[in-house]
Amino acid sequence: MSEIKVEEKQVNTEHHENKKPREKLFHITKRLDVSLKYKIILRVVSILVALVVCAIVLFIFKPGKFGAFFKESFNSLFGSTNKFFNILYEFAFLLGIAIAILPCFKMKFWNLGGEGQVLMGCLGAALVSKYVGPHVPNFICIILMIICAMIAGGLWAFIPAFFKARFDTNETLFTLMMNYIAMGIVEFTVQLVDPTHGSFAGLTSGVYHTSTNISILISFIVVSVLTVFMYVYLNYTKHGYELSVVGETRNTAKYIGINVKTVIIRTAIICGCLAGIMGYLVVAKQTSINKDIIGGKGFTSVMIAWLGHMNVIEIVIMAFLVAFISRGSNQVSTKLGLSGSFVQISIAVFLLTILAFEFFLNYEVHFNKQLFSKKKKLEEVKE
Amino acid sequence: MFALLLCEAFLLTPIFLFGSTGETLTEKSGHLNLGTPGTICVGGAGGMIGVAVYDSICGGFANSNPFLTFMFVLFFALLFGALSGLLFSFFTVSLRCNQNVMGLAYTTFGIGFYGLIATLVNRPDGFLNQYCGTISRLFMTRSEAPNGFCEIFLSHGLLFYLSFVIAIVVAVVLKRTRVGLFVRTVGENAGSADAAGIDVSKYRYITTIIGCSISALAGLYYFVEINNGLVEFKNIDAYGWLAVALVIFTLWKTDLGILGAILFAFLFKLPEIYGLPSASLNILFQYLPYFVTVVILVIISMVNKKAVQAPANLGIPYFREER
Repeated sequence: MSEIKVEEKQVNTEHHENKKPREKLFHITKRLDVSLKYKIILRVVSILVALVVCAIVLFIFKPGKFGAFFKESFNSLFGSTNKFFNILYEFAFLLGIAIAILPCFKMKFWNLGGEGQVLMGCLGAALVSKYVGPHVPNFICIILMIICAMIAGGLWAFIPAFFKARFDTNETLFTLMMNYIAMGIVEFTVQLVDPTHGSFAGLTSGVYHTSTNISILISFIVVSVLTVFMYVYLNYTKHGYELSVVGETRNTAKYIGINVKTVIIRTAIICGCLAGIMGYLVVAKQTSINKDIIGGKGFTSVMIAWLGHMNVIEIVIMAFLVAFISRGSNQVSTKLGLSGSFVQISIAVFLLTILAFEFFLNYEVHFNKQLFSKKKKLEEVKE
Repeated sequence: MFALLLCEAFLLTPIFLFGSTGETLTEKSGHLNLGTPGTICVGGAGGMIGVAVYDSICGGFANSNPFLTFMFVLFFALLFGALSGLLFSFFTVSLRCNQNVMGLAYTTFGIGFYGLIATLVNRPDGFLNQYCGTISRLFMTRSEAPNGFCEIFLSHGLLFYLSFVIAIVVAVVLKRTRVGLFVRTVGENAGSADAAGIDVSKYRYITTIIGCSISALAGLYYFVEINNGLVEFKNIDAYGWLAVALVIFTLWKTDLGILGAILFAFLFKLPEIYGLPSASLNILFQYLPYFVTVVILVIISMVNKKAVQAPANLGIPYFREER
C-alpha cells in the first residue's frame, strides 16, 4: 500500500511541474479519398526517388560512380536483344507469380507461399517430363505436365487454406513454412531420383527446344494471357466480387450469404494452380530443377503485389520496374566489379523507398500552425 | 558418438536461440518481424566490419588484443542490429507500413548486404579468420579429456553462454516485471494499452530495437564461432527462418526457446553425425523442424486457448484515430 502512495505522490508532483499540456508539432490523419491525379503524381515521384536512392547506395559502395547506375541500367534495357530478353524473362517471371498470388492478397489471405507453390509446380512438371514424357507424344506430355503442375501447386496452397478456413490458423507463418517444406521435398526427390547430377538435368520431353529468346517469348505470352484472365476474374466475375467482400469484412460476407470457408479454399486453390503453371514455364525453360530454382522471386512477387495495391495494371508496372532494377544492377555489379549481392540490395532499397511513400498515400500530415506562430511570438517577445 | 552429437548441436544452438529470443521480444509487442533473417545477416556483416575497423586501428594482427577485438565486433554487431530495428520500427510504427512487406524487403536487403560486405572486407591473407580464432578462444576452457563434460558444456566462446543468459533474462522480464506486462499489453491490444496511458509507439520502438540487436548477435555468432571468420555463407537465411519458426514452436516463450533451440540444432546435426542409410533421408531430416512448426501451428489454432496463441495484435499497425 505504502509503495502505491509514494508512486501517486510522484505522479502528482510530476503533473504539477509540467502544467502546460504538451502540444504536438504535427498530427496525422487518415486520407479518406485520394484523387487519381494525386495518386499518379505520388507514384511517379516515389519511383524517381527510389531510383535516385539506388544510385546513392551505389555511390556509397563505389564513390564517384553516381551516374553509372542509370547509364548501365538503361544499357541493360536497350543495349542488345539478349539483354532485352533477359529483362523480359525476369519481368514475366515476377509478374506471373505476383498475378498468381494476387487473389489471395485481395482476400487478405497472406499467401507468402508463392515460392513453395511454384516450386511444387516445377516438381510436378519435371516428374511427368522425366517419367511419362518418353512414352507419349510431346503435346500430350505438355498437357500432362501443366495439369500435374497445377495439381501440385494447388495442393500446396490448399493445405494452409484448409486450416485457415477450418481453424483460423495463422496463414502468414503457415505458408512461409510450406516454402521450406517444398524445398525439402524437391531436394529429397532430386536426391532420390537423380543423385549424380543433383538436378533433373537434360529433360527432353515437354520442354522448349527452340532458342532461348523464343522460349522467353512464349513464357511472356502465357503470362500476359494469365494477367488478362486475372483482370477479368477479379473485376467482372462473381468469384472476384465474393473474394473482395471476404477480404473487406468477414461478417458482411457471412450476412450476405457468402460461404466464407468455400471462398477462402477456392481462391487459394486458384492461386496455387496459377503458381503451378508458372512452375511449368520455369521447368520448360530451364529443362532442370533444383531447390533454388525460384531464387527468392516468390518473396519479391509478394512485395510487388502489395506495392501494386492489388491492382493488375499497377502490378504490371511494378513488376517491370523491379525486373529493370534487377537486371540493371546486375549489369552495374559486373561492370564495376561489385559482388552479385548488389542486385538484392538495390531491389530491397527500391521497394523500401516505394513502401515509405505509401505513407503519404494513406495519411496526411497536418503541422500545428498555431504552435509555430506561438513560438515566433515568444521569440519576438524575448527579443 | 552421442557426445560428439551433443557437442555439435550445442555449437549450433545459439544461432537459433539469439534469433528466436529477439524475434519473440519483437512479436510480443505486436510486430511480426519477417526481417529477422535479414537482421541476422546484417549482424554478421557488422561483425566483419568490426574486425576490419579494429584491424585498421591497431595496425595488423600482430598488435591486436583479443578482448578489444571482441568488444569491437560486439559493438558493431549490436549497432547494426539496433539500426535494423530502428529502420523497421520507423517504417512500421511511424509510417505504419505493412509489416510483412517491410520484413521481406529487409530480409532481401540483409542477405545482399552480407554478401556485399563480405566481398568488400575480405582480403586474401585471411585476417578475418585469424581474428575470429582469437575471439572464440578468448573465454574457452579447453578440457583435457575429449568428449567429456567439459567438451560439451565448457568449451564454447562467451557468446554461447550469453545467448542462454539473454533468453532467460528476456523471459523473466516479459513474465515478471511491470515493463514486461506493458510490452505484452501493447502486443495484445494496443488500443487498451493506449487508453491505460502506455506509450504504444515508444514501447514498440524500444522492443523492436532491442529484439533486433539480440537477433543480430546470431549473425555474429555464426560468423565468429561457426564459420571461423570465413565469409562464405551457405544457409544463414535458412537459419533465420528456422529462428522465426522456433518462436511459434516455443509458443512465444523464450525460456522454452532454450529447449526448442537445442532440439532444432539436434535435428539439424543428427543426420550429419550419425549418417542415415541414404543421402535423401538425410535431407528430409534437415527439413523436419519446418514440418514440426507447421504441426504446432495447426495444433495451437485447434486448441484455441489464449495462453498459447500469438499476440492478438500481431502484425497490425496501431493508429489511434482509427478506432
